[in-house]
Amino acid sequence: MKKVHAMSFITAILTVSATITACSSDNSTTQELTLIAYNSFTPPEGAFDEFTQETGITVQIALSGDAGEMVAKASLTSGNPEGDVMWGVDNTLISRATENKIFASDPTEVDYGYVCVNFDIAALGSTEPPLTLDDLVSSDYKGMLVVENPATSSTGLAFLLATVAGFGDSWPDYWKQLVANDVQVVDSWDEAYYTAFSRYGGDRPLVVSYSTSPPAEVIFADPPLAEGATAPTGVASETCFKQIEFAGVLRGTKYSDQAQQLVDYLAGPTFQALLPESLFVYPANQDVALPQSFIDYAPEIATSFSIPSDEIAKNRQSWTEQWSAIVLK
Amino acid sequence: MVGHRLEMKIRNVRIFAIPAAILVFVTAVFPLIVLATSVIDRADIFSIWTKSPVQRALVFSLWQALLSTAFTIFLGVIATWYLSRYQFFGRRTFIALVTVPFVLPTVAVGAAFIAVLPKALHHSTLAIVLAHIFFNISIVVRTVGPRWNSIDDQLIDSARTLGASPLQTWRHVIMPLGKNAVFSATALTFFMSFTSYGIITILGGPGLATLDIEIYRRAVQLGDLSGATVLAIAQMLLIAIAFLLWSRSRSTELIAFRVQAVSHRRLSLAPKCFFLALAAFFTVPLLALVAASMRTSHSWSLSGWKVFLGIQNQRGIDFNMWQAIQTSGKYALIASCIALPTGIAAAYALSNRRSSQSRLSALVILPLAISPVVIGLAILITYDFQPFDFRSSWLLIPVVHAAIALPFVMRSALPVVDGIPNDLRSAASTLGAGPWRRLFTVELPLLKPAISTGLAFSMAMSLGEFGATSFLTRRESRTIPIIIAGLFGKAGEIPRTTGMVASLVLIVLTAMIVVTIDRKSHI
Repeated sequence: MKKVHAMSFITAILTVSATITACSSDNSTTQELTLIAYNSFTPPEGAFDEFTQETGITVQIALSGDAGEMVAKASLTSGNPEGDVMWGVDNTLISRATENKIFASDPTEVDYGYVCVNFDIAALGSTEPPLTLDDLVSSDYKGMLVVENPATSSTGLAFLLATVAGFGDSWPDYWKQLVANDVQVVDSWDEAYYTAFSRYGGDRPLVVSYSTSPPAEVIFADPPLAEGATAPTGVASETCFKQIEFAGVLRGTKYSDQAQQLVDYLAGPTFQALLPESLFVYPANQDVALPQSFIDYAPEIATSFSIPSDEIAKNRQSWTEQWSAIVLK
Repeated sequence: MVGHRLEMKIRNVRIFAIPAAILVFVTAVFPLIVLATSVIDRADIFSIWTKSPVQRALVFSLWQALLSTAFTIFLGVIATWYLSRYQFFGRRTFIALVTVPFVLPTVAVGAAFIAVLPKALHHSTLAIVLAHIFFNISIVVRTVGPRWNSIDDQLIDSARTLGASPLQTWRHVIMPLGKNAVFSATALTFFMSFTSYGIITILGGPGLATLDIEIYRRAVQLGDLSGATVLAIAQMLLIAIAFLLWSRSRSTELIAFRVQAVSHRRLSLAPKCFFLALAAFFTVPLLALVAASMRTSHSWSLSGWKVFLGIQNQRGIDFNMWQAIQTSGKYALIASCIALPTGIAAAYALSNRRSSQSRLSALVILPLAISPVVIGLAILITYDFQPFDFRSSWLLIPVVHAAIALPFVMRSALPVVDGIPNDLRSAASTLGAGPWRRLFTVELPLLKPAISTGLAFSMAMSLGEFGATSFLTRRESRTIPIIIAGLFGKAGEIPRTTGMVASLVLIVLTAMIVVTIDRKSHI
């Protein structure tokens, strides 16, 4: 007998929790929009206050893993999305997104940035820092570079794409030279930057990171840098791949007009001005002034590499597999 | 009359497995079926195995799991022997020390290992094997310890008196008495190493990818959901079959360790050194993490701590420590509230029935055996229609955590439930106690050790879970592991030290919960 009671107790718990869940998902009204973004989407507190004041709509942010995970999820739920707007599909993933018809209309460009080789000024000492991709295979930099695996890291993929764009069909030869020059490969950006890079105790003064990493180093310096001091790291400004990120209304949202309003806000001046110092990217909106930290410490990237996104989608797997065969052996 | 009622009870007891079965079905089996039917391209079922990254991942999974298991069992058996047969200073602390890593968050432990290992060992098979030993040695101690603890000293003394050498005594007396337990520990260690994910993402590297990593890479980087799902299902079936066969031969129990050693023998110098080395192995990574939390590129600084505690404001970093601890704590509590009754009820269903035990053991291990990214995708595509659109519900996270903790709760409850004498229940009924009274006055007090161990396990597993959580998070309810991943994603000294602080806080928080709650079951 006792056991039957225990059983009904458990059933009751399950029923109650199921009911709570069911009710809570019924609450969504047009007063609230859900913005899906990658995990590192960290605009400052109050970034949506102006939007809420103007429209009466509050914005919920659903974090969805990294950008790749986010697109994988969105492709599966295409047409019956988890939210109304998506932030942060970049040009290496955008054609997978459009192929799977994630967006209701063409997504809007919201920010851009560059993946470039960074160098540790202190560790290089008297050695002249590199500038171009060709420099990296010089014996001056033997055993100095760490890159991310393009099969597991979007940063690594961007750098591979830079070499594909830079060398065309002979990119495999370039990588053979990099291997001969003792390039190190790790799986993710944080491993490369925080364990292999000489600034954080590693033995590699050159690392594939972002052109905006130097301003981040300045903002996060501990103790804070003295007025007018130079950044501790620099950028090899002709090794850069341009990454563009998009935001758009998801196909299947019930509130597409309001969702479009949110996309406009994301691309508008108020929100765009917050991007540099929180996401460390450049605002797509040309009217937005850059903060002083970017003006002082982010190098101007005059030339960068790029590849059309449909071409990336088509060749991504074969390029990474070819790359693995050469570099990982 | 009484006999008849007892018989009824035993027949009905099977229904107690239903909540556990429902939880596993809802969180793993059903979503996986839905995912499989909607994404799998039939051609992939065979062709996927011909791809070289898949073959490499399969070989590496097996290879590192074999190595990890061999070393874990070897060191674990030696440690267990002394822990269960000898009385020495620091013995209890040591038992707590080896148990804690098993439930520690892999994100944080990975950071600790990176902080302590020499550069040459980063991203090597050796680093992975070391981390697996660190995690899994407690399986051996907790499974084999109680068996050896209960061997009568006289038995060993007699063997020796009759002329058996220490080696012969070991081979013919001690090993046979612990054989089943060692076998169980071996299987569980192998399973944990084979499906290891967090450790490999941190300590692995190019060329050191397991099957779980390859599944992730296919699903996320290549967008090959069909291939990823085929691999996930294959891995799940393999593990389920292995468990079915293995549990049939013997059950494993992660049971509470008896603190009072039978013998009061003193340790000689060699085992003392062994334990000192092992203790260092367990504490050094944590000390290294403490150092890393205060180390910037050139000097020492407490800024990481200040930012984490909210004393120092830092532009560009936006999180609220209390909110993160609260969210983590809330999920852990809810996950325990689901996993505990479900797991203990399942233990009742299994109690003293070896036949159904193997089937249920194989079933409850499923949520642990499927790659977290595949579970996340499967749940997403399954519960996407009203009134079952759970995708936006935060409750989904603790429910998944509960499913992951279920096998551990069930296994730690089983020996306790087995140990409750049936006479006691009948005596209580005969004396007129109703079902509720019997539950509160007889059953629950006796279940206390099972409840505390199960609570410790389920809370700790929920606190450290990253894979499924990172898939389903809201920005205002980020858990500590999500915060850590976010901090390590920014370039600069402050985010790095703050990330180290957060890892340390998560480890200490988890260890405190496990030691406080679990201590009660030791005595």
